[in-house]
Amino acid sequence: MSDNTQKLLEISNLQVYFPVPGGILQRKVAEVKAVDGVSFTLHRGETLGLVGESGCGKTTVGRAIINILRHVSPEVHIGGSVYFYEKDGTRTDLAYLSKKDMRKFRSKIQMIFQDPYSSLNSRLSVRQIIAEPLEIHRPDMSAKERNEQVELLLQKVGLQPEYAARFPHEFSGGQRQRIGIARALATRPDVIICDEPVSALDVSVQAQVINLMEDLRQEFGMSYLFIAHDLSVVHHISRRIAVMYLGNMVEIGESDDVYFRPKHPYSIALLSAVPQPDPERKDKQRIVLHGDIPNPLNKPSGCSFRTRCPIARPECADFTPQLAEHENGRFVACPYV
Amino acid sequence: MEKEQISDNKDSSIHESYGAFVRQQFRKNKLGVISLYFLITVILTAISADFLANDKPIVASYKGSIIFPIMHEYAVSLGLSSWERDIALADWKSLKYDWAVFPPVPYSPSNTDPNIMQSEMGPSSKHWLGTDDIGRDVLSGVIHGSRYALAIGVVAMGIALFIGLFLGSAAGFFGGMTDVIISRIIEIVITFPTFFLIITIVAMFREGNIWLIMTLIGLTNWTGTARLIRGEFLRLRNLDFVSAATALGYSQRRVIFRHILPNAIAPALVSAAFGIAQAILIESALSFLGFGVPPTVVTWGSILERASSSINAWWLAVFPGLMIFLTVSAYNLIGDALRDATDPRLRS
Repeated sequence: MSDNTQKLLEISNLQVYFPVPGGILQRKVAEVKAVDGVSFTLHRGETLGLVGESGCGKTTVGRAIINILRHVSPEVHIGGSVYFYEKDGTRTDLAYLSKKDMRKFRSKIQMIFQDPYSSLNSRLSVRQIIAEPLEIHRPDMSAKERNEQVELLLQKVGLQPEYAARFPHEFSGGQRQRIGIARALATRPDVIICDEPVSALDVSVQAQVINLMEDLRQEFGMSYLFIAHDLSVVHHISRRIAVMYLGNMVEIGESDDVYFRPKHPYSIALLSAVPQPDPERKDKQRIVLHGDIPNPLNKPSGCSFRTRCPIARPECADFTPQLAEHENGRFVACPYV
Repeated sequence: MEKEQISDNKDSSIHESYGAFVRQQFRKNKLGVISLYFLITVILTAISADFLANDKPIVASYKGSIIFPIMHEYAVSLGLSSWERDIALADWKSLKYDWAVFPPVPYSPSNTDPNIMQSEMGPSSKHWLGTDDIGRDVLSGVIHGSRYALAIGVVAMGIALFIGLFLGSAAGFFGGMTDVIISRIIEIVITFPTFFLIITIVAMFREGNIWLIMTLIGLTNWTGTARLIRGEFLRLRNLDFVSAATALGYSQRRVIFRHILPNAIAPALVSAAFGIAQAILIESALSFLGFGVPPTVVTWGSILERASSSINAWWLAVFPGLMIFLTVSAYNLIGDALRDATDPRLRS
């Protein structure tokens, strides 16, 4: 990673705690630490893959960055910072912006969602869906210009412009995901948070959508934060990969390094689970983790992975391991590797 | 280009909006369609009631000039005109016309037939559905009563829908304390025995007033709609398209009215159809018990009430009762058909 790459997003010690209400008065009785101190940097033009098993907080990280958690659960506690860097280097912390101030940044950070069926409003036509962001963020555009933009965007994502008059239920999952991508592209964002964008699609369609997204990224000069649990997909599209476990980041590094030479015991186990396309190759041993992922309401003390870790020691219960640099740009949160 | 598009949309059955989809699904429900046609007939009857049953002629030649008494009466009630002195107090039937075209039922609902001095008369060639104990034509009453039946449904449910949509959306969208407070209000209103509440309030007024009853029915029957809408909002606001709308920086108003409400409204409309049926039944019951409209106003329920004091006059009970039954059933069947048609999971 070269030093002159400009920063785009810098997430610093991000914490997202959801309150668990209980009792007659629905008071807070506990907290789910969905994200507990995550830090990483996303550079301009880069794709960063974020992987981890279900419930590890990767989706919450994405939603915290685009600042929509408070809309759904107003009582959520958010700590740390989400810095957004303008092209001229000035930065803004998005985590604490009011709804009104956040609106200015909405056009620059967009999101693609996992479920192509619930992410499009079924009562609006494709034209209305894609034109709406332009109505809000480009009020200077005439209706005719907007229409041209909609048709251009549809072409860019590989759909026929004539489809603009149709409604979402007339499309397949892959086509719907393309519509979602066109909607995210409409405001020409600097970064798109891709929340498992291909998990709900057939494998053959996955490849098409992944390749389309890569082409679009290069054409529009965007960055992606690519959240997924499918490691081979993430390896294919990302320049760097970050691995999360139970709200913490355990490893981050260059895509090939993390994918082929994982260091953290959790990354090693996770990557050993990737199916091998070559049945002759038996050198890679599958590491099966024992036990369930701990309840995020009641995390183990110290290193949260120690209950399932093959190399755990008694000391692991005493301190929370921090990400430490192992080689250039490679950080691992385990002192024993 | 044009041709290409047409060939592209060859499979035109899938190229449709949600509204077209609902219409198409609705048409498959035979009972629903029949009910809808019945209801349209009732609506047309209500609109043209003055021309179907009236003691004034539709058009007549009187003292050498052509007059349109029914149209003229509309103008008078709008304050645009007034009656000639010699006509104003006259009995329309006994005027000496050169010629006159009377409506098919030549009686007004509240006018007594002076030729009948005995009490209630059964169906005859003069009074097709008979008369009540003071000589009022039942058919005319049934025709004009359709106006009140429809107005009660529309006004009462209109009020109920407005309150229900407003409070339900607020509770579901904002959640938290707003939801707690509104939910408790809903629960309090549900515990009122609405029927007795309405009787109590109506009894406090000397004169029965049909609009007061409509308003009261509306004010006490919004809870179902509110709860439905609240539930829909709770479900929809967690879906990704609402997150997308927020992430795109749309205002709260836009998210509520353009993205969530259109998706939440279908179940509310279904419940409105049932609610209209309920409102008509409540009004009929109130009129039957004598708490409803003043004696000069003829509704289906008030004709029924006459039957209670005239045991042998079966026609006073059967015909308005049949109309109430058919209209309420029609609304219920339409509600059923709408529910099936708006649910894509039941697509056949």
